[in-house]
Parts: sequence; structure tokens; C-alpha cells
Amino acid sequence: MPNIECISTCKIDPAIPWVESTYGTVAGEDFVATCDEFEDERRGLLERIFGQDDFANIEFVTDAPAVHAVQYAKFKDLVRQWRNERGAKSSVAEMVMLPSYQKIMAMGPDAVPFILAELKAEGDAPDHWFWALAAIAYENPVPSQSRGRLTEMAKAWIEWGHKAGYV
Amino acid sequence: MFKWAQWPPEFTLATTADFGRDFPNLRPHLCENDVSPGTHSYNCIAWAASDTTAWWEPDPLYQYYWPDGVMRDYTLSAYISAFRTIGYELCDDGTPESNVEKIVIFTLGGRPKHAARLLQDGNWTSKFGDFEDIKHADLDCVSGPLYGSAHRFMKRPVS
Repeated sequence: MPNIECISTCKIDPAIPWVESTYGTVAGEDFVATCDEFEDERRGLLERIFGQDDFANIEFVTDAPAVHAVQYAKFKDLVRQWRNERGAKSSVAEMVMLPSYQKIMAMGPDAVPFILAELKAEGDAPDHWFWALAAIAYENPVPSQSRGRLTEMAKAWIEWGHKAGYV
Repeated sequence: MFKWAQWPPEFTLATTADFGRDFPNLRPHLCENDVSPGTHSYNCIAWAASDTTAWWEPDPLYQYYWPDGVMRDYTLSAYISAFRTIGYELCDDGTPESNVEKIVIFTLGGRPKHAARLLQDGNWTSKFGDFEDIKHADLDCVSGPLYGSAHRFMKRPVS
């Protein structure tokens, strides 16, 4: 059974996360796919390169990026759920208690680059990701004068993400 | 003065799945125009405090604005103290008085859930979470399982 290094460079591009594309390399050949298409795209490429018979014998030895893509798809789904569920709650403390937000926080540090990408994409209308970031990272880069000013809070967290190597 | 026969499209809260459950008493004919766009930038507490620059919340993670010196606590006393920092004091009711601004804190199970501000014309204004703010005729129409009911009134001289 051959060992094939595949998808070793697959990643979400934080600059355009709303595209929900993943970038992969299978045995040296690059491809781009949406998260939903990811597995099909990867399989199709492998089949084209190696042929149907060989494909059945391939053992994936480097699959962490694929896990990353699946996590991102899960994250985006939870974001949609959370926005649909939170209604007119006037307190972030109540919004973050919803199961969808709790599941995002439960993703731990893996969720941080996704959240920061979401914040960047939201631009001047950042959503309430600060609770999750502060809880996961156990940090608070928001200066006291910026508390409650969401665009300033987002800026502080994105800068923190750069310094921490997440962005 | 209340002219709405149905919810205008710009009041997007009315299109959400749980609107009827959360606001069983809210009807178009009890509300008025001047719907501001929905925004995450400030919440009902800030809106009651006439602040559209910050989201007021006593979160324990120190992300959101809460007046200095006031306990970061989701209790009625902490919310009353927060409004005291901008000149409000407890009063008996929401009856309009000349040269006086009034706010009301809604509670559910003793916990603050919402705040509204009395307008000079005798109506109230509320911001609904991340959604829009509207003018409404009374306080009962925003009461319900999400915001509870009007509980404590506060007033301050018009500045």
C-alpha cells in the first residue's frame, strides 16, 4: 500500500474566508475547492492522478489540513445557527450561552483563526466574537477606553492575532 | 400618531422566527416610525442611556463598556448604579414630567433584561438587541418572555 503525502498545504485563506475555499495539494498538484466540495474534489484528483485501482490502495498519511477544512465548515455552520437563534437578546452573556456559540468556544484554539477571519470579514460591523476570543485565549488586548466600541475591539483583537501568529 | 398597519420591511426583527414568541404583545399599531438600522454597535442599555457609541454590558471578561466604579454584575442593583453614573435616580413611575428624562429597567426573574427611554412626547423608545430601535406607545407591548416586564423607573433633569 503506497503512502501518499496529500493535502499538505490545504488551508482556509483568512483574507477571503467568506469564499469558504480550501487550497490543497495532492501529491504535488494544487487544487481549490469549497468546503462542501472538499472531499469530492480531493477524491477526484487522486483518482485522476493514480487511477481508480491505485486510489483504492492509497493510505492518507497527512490529513490534518482536511480536518482543518472540516472544522471550518463546522464553524461556519455554527455561526449561521447562532445568528438565527439569538433573536433580540440584549446581553452578550445570554447570546453566548446558546449551544451554537458554546460549541464554537468548545473548539478551543482551533477556532481562533476562524473567528479572527470572521472579524476581519465583518469590517466596520463586527459581531460579538470577543467573549469567545477572551475565553479561549485567556487574554484581553482591548484597552479600557475601547471597551464596548466594537470596531475598536475588533481592531485590538486582530492586532493581537497578528502578534500571536493566528492571522 | 401611530400609523403602522403592518410591520415595515426595515423593522427586520419582525421577520425573525421567534418574534411572535418573544414579543407577544408587540403590534404595529402600537409603534412608530424612525426605525434606525440594526447594529451591533450599541444595545438597549446604551440606547436608554442615550449612548450610541458603545455596547453597555457588565461582562466579567472586560470586553464591553460598563461605567467605572460600578460592579460588573448582571444584577438590578448594578444596572441602577450604572444609570446613576449619568445622573439618573430612582423614581416612582414612567409618567412624563417637564424637563425630566426617564428610563425604565425591565427584569425577568429579578434579572435585568432590557431598558427603554421615555420620549418627550410620552412614548417610549427601545433598541432590540442587535436589531432596530423603535418608538412604542407603552411598556406592556415590549414585555414578554424575553424582556420580562417594566420594573424600576429612573429619572434625571433634562440637560
